[in-house]
Amino acid sequence: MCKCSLFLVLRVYCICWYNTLPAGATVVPIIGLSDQTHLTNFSGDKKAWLVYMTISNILSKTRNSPAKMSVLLVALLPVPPKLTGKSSQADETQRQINADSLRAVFDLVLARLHYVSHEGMVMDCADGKTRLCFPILLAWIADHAEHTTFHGIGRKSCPKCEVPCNEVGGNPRDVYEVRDYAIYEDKARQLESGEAGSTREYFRLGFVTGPRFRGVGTK
Amino acid sequence: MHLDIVLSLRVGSTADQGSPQPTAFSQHENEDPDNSDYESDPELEIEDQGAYNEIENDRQDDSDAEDTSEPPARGRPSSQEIIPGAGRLLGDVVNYTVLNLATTNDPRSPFSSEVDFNLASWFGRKKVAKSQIDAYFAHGLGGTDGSSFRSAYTMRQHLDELDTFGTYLVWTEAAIDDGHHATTFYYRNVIDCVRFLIRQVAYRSQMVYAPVREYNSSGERLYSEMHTADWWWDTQV
Repeated sequence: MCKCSLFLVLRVYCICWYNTLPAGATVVPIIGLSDQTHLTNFSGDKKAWLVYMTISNILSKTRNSPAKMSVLLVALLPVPPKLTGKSSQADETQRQINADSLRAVFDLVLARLHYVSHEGMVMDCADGKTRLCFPILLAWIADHAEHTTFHGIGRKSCPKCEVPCNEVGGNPRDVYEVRDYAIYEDKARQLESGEAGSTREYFRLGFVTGPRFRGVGTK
Repeated sequence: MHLDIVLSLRVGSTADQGSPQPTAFSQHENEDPDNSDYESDPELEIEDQGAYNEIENDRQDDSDAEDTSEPPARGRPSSQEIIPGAGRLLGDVVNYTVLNLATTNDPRSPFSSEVDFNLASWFGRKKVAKSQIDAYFAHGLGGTDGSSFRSAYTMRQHLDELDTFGTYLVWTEAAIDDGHHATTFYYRNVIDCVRFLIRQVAYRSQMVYAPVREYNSSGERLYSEMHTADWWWDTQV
């Protein structure tokens, strides 16, 4: 099992930016939504971690109406145990386990999507016709904390650009590099295969708020 | 230290409606009355169909509202550009009319009367327990005759009849083991969820299958719904 961090949302998301679809295809953009939901106080701080989805082919007026019920619950993710806080080493290990298991779960849940967005699938449509549909994960609606969890970056980092955490909210005219998660994934793979030094330096020098890797602490 | 994630799958027999479902998903059960409710509510159907043009206008009005400084005429798309062949039809859905019988035929079917339908709808919405529904009929509160269901079981059967595509929304139970604890989680097949949504007759008038570029009378691009923007177009071409 891969030990590198989570780049799951973007990885699936990127698929179709580079592919054009065959003529006559029907695009079915999928919108994912997720949030950790706090359930109980004083009795273990129970949480549910819900993932929803809907499709953008439904016009927004209907899609956004709760009464039309166009949003489906797709998954209830495993809620990781609370961090004990006894030692930072143990907590860091636990965080890494959480990140790895989240990635494994998403790989499982989105496995079929990965295949069908390339190959397409003939689907029955509401108007009584069949079409060759390409479901593509288009957007992920989540709050900031959720995005940082999914991208495996620190809470204080921006999931979109490589702004250092002490400059967040600074000069709005400053422009930062857009995060390239493909590079991060490569770096993570290098770390796995033992070329760790360069990765460590890469994130120390360039980007203080890089993704969380085993053994490379983020500040 | 080397930690391995062992992903073990236990595909539950959730297709079988009779089997006990995980308690976390009791809402799945409760969804059905709601689903069947909007599918078979004739007023909604009629309103949806009749309102199609109205909705089209509404959308255009929305863009007016965003752009209040402009005269209303400029906000209306006067010309459209489409991709020829996008969203091409391949054929007809097999058994389309049979599958949607519940929504097209008698609006109250399979319930015999409006009272019956409302009763079942209320049981569903208020999450009345099966034992309580049975007790309701056992006490004779449901009247003596004319009711199309006399127990929670027969009500459930009627609802299954309405919910033709419920099999798409089957839950799979899986467990992830990180070496210390095994945590259970549940998921649905994403593709089946897409298929479920895209074939819902209730959304028939509200579906788009192809991108479009809209322009107003002075040739300016108009953006309203998602299919009028660039992403969809770029992905398609």
